[in-house]
Amino acid sequence: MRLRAVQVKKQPAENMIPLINIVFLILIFFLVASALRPFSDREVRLAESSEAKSPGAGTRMAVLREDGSIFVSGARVSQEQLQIQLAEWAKDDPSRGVTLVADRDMDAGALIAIVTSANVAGVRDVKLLTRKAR
Amino acid sequence: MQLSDWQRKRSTIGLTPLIDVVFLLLIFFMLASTFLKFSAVPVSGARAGGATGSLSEIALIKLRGIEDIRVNGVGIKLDGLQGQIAELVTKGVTRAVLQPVEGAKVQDLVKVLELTRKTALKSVVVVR
Repeated sequence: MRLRAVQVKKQPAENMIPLINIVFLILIFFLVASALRPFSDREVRLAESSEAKSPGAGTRMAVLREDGSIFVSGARVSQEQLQIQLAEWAKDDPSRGVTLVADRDMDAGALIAIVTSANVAGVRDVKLLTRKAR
Repeated sequence: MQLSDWQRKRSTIGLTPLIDVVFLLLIFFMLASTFLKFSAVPVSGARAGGATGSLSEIALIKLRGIEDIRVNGVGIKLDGLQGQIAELVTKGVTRAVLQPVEGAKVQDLVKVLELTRKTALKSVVVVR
């Protein structure tokens, strides 16, 4: 009886420190072992490729969903608006390329139409984001 | 003197706000990060007036799907593609034009692009 009474009294506040230790540990694990997602659209499933070459930080991206809708920095745009955006990017800094984030089940012809329109707009370096197959 | 007295009396910083912030950071990194490895495949489109040289230097790859690939009109399996291109290279072909026809998906395009990039071809362009 006396033993239990002592245990109950000691319970609060004391257990915080091991908790913080573990949370810190998990935080540091995520910081070290993972990288930030280059894009945030969870609808898009990327095509798989055998090699992994980093897309590079700060590249301009356009997201192309399977249904043909286009997103630039989170906002839905039309074909014409994309064309204007591409021309703006090309004028702003032609040496910086554009990375297309296309769904793997999207029609390849539609993708190439966008690649061609990017080239017409003056973007020389067009890349397609893929993920390395495991 | 009074100042140092006051400092000594101050209690230790509370742990709760610290844990709050650490939890917040943890949740942010768990949601915003990924363990996937990404890659960027260059895709070059054909440009008007960009091509010089004879037509015999160019191979046309028609892609209807991963199971239906035609190199200069000859149907080829995916694992025979590199061999076929190597044979064409010995005949003087230096470039290839890759044309996906309706039914080809982005995944098929990436697969074929990767395979052709590993051959001796100088350039592979995609056209519609």
